[in-house]
Amino acid sequence: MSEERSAVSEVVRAFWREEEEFRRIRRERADWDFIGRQPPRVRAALEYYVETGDLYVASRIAGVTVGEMNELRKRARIPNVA
Amino acid sequence: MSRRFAISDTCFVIDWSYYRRRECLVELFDVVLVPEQVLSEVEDERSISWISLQLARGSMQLFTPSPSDLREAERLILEVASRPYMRRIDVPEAVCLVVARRIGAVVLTENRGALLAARLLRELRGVAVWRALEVIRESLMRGLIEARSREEVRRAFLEYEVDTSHVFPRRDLEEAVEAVVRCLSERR
Repeated sequence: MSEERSAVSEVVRAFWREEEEFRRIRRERADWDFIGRQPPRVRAALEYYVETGDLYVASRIAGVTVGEMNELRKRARIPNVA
Repeated sequence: MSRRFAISDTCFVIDWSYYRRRECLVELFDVVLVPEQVLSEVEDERSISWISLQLARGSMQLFTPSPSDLREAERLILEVASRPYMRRIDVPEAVCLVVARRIGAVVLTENRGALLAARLLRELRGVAVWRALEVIRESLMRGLIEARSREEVRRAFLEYEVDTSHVFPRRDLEEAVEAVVRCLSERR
């Protein structure tokens, strides 16, 4: 039981380490000038995407479909890291 | 032999439709289910025309989740949310996970919350969750994408990165390339 718990802990630790690494990649590659020029909802959505990589919730913040949000992501040069 | 099903969420299928080797997906599976909620989120012409073509050919199938699927998805969302160490999931990927568990399909998603949930939750044990990385790896191993050398194997992954503004985690990419090269050399 404790072995299983320790394996789970390691999976969780590795997952959140990766999250931090992927966030850094998105931050570094993002076109912050483009993001800064967007209307408030889109800007907030792009910033949320940089932080989380979550396209669905970002699209809800921007008030657009996931497809439109993905286009905004590409125009803002934010990679999908997964 | 049973038919091989996959079920796709939005973030996967939108990017996948931009991949120059996208046809391998519908050769890898007999049917790719596309939930109605996913289809309604696809906007751009390239994605929607490719998905429509696959729906017409029968390689993809529009899937309407039942009320019980939606209730079960909601329960799963709350189950994940109750564990602070997990990454939250939302309706699209939760629907894919519960339907995949029920019918034995592979979930196609780039959502990391779904990946973690499938690894950690006992109730999702046995549910396979594939990203584009795994789809390309399997396509290479089965010869649906042709590659004769390590460079050609690597190119198939890098083309996806270029076509979709994607970055594969380097360690996962190296492991996938290694697995494909090993598989190809065993086949020779």
